[in-house]
Amino acid sequence: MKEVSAKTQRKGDWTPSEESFKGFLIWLDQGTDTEGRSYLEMRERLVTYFDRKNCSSPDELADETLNRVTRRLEEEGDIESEAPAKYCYTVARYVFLESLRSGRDKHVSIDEASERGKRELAASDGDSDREHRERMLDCLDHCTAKLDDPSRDIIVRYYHGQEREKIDNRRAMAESLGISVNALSIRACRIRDRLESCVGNCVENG
Amino acid sequence: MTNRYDNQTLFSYLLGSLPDSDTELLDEMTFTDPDFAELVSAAEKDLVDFYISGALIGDILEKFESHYMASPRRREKITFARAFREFAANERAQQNPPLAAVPESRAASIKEQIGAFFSSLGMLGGGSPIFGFATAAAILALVFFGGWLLIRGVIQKQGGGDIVSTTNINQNIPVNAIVPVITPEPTASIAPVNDGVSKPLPTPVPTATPKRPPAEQSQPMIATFVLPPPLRGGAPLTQVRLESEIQVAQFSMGLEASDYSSYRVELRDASQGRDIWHAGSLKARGSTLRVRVPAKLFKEQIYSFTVTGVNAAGTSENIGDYSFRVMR
Repeated sequence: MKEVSAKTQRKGDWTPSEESFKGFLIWLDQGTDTEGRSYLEMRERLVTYFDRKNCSSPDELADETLNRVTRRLEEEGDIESEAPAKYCYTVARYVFLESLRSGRDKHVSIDEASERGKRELAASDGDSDREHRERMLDCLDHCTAKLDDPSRDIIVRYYHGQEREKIDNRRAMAESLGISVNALSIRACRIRDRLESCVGNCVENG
Repeated sequence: MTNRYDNQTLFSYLLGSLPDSDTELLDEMTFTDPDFAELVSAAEKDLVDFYISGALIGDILEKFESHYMASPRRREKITFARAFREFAANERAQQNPPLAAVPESRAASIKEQIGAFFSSLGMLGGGSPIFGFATAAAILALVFFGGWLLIRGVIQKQGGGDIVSTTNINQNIPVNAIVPVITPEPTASIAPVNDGVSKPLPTPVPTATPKRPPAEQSQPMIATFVLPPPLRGGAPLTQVRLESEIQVAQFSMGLEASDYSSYRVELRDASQGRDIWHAGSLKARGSTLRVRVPAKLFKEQIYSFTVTGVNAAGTSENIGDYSFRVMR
């Protein structure tokens, strides 16, 4: 940790060059050209990590982490001490602890934030936000239409019913697809993630 | 490594309730183990779905609102989940394909999973290799069990008699964890039920917008049967006729002694000698104990209910077996 922290300190407003960013993508891919998917997945994992720590700027801290790893790669040529995912986590943890110490990231006050959250969600139940909800439902129509038929069928049927009926339904679905309930759950989760992402873009961009 | 974590642990992780050392371990795994990351993601969706369906109460609800909802990003997940729930219900109402029947083997499987759930609680107290030391494991077991009791409480408030955890620590199934099995409420002999008190079998969520037509509210047909107290020396076997349109069979069992604080009932398939359904924490009404069982669990053969009385100290005693023959 000490070695990592010393080599991953902030260096002003360092930004990666195109060359160093390419080097980072190659290192992250570990020999397989994922056309940037590995990068996007790693960034998402980092944002989720900082968000779960209740950091107020998870995107900023995720980018800071990626920048530090990229800079280290540029300086060292390679990082062989740890696998990319592990190394990114190690740096992310350091960035998180550093942000706590420095107060650079204003961590969300749980009480204040949750009160605000409850108010916002309560408001989203009211008529004033009905338009937003309708927009979201329209986007769900739009995004679901882009799914292939099997995925669309899975996502609609998987979340059907309540309580016992839902579980029975999932077991029946898994049996009919010839997969385990666990595998079905993961499949439905991935489809829902895609939908959520699509709907987010749709609502934002109109 | 991944499959050692059940939904209870993942919920605690997502709610910030795990000790720091465990949290760091799981944090790292979300980076280094893609399968684990997907499990956490699936568990998070289940947790949010529980919240919007009102299944979280007490400390878990408080933790959800204070910790989980502190993040705008996570609040957006809740908003999406609400919209998605409405959307899925509308889609389903439009498609309305028939649901698959549930064979008995699945009921048995659910029971096995109940066993797995309790085994997992026992394992936590016994020093799980995940956490490395017994104290933390014991605290976790208390937290998880407490949470389980809280959720169980809300189910019972809603009229459910018991809950089933489908979390299978061995098979690593991250699906919704709580199911009310029965609703011991009085009803007419054979009638559609919509009395506002009885909890009907789950139905699609009704729609809220004109362009998305509402799902039909199905009203389960319930048939009621009275099973007399088991007699020593034998008695004619009670015949139970279940017509095909019956969806729920309600049994009223006469009790010789009704002074237990609660009761547990297990339904046994006599031909195969195995339990296919159960309910717990039931309260007697006078000298009668009522349970409701999905009619689809029954085929034409002999079954028996094994009734166990549980006293205030937590000790239990077998009260008797109520055997009957199902005719269809």
